[in-house]
Amino acid sequence: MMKLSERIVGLDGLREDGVLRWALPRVAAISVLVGLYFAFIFAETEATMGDVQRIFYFHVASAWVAFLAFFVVFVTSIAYLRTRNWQWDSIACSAAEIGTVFTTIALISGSIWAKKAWGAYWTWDPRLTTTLILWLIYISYLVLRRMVETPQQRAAFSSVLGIIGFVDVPIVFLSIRLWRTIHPVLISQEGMDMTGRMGAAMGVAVIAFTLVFATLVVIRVSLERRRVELDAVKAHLGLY
Amino acid sequence: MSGLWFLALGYGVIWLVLFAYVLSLVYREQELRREVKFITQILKDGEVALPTAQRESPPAEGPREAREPSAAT
Repeated sequence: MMKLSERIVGLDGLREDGVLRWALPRVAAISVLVGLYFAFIFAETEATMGDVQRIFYFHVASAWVAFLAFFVVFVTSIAYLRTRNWQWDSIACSAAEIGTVFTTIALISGSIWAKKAWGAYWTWDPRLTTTLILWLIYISYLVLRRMVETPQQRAAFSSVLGIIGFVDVPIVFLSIRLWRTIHPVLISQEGMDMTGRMGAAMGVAVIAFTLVFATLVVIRVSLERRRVELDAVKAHLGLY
Repeated sequence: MSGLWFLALGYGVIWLVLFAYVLSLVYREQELRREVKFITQILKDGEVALPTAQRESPPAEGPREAREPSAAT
């Protein structure tokens, strides 16, 4: 027998404060500070665009994290459909939400940089357009989760969308190679189109935002699991 | 407008969006704690026992796996 009062003790989050929740945010915060140092001081000023080019480091890092997050959604959605294990769905919906936040950051920071570099906040360039479609796909994913009330159906429908939606990620990545575009191509067959210091600053920013992503996933998944557990307790008590 | 202004705007937006998301997580966490506190208060009036057989049946609001971690704690 387990008393309900014992069962809900774990829901206040105190038992979830493990090493990950203690160490990850601190490491992520330090790496972000190092990333800012590299972006603003270590990397030299770009000759043509000047200081505004420094947006690039965390803009690229945001786009990278968005791709990573949607890859996590893709893998965990497949895992959910294969196993029907609720834990996979918790990770998938958490990663989708965080990926959407980072896509928003990439779109807005890119638009601000574009205004200075191209003279317009937005153009229907292939890279920008496919990224906007990606953002809309995962906004739809989050809306779908709110609309379907049955948990099993919600998880199954959103898993299918999480798998299909990922198709746009390679399209976004390849868009600047497949179509005529004004978006810079950083990595080509000739190598990286930037100096060593700029490359280092981009690498540090990517690592920093990857750690921020990992931190947010740990917190968000923990929240999602406790939410589901609490809903089950409330249903047992007849509070719905 | 100068490049520095756009640079400040760009980084301002990046941190603002991230900060807003973290705030939303904090809000949801607090909301969850409030609900836990509310249910604890209800249970203070009379302990409700949850038999093992019931815990193993699928929950009304979530699949079985969702209930297993805390059932084991």
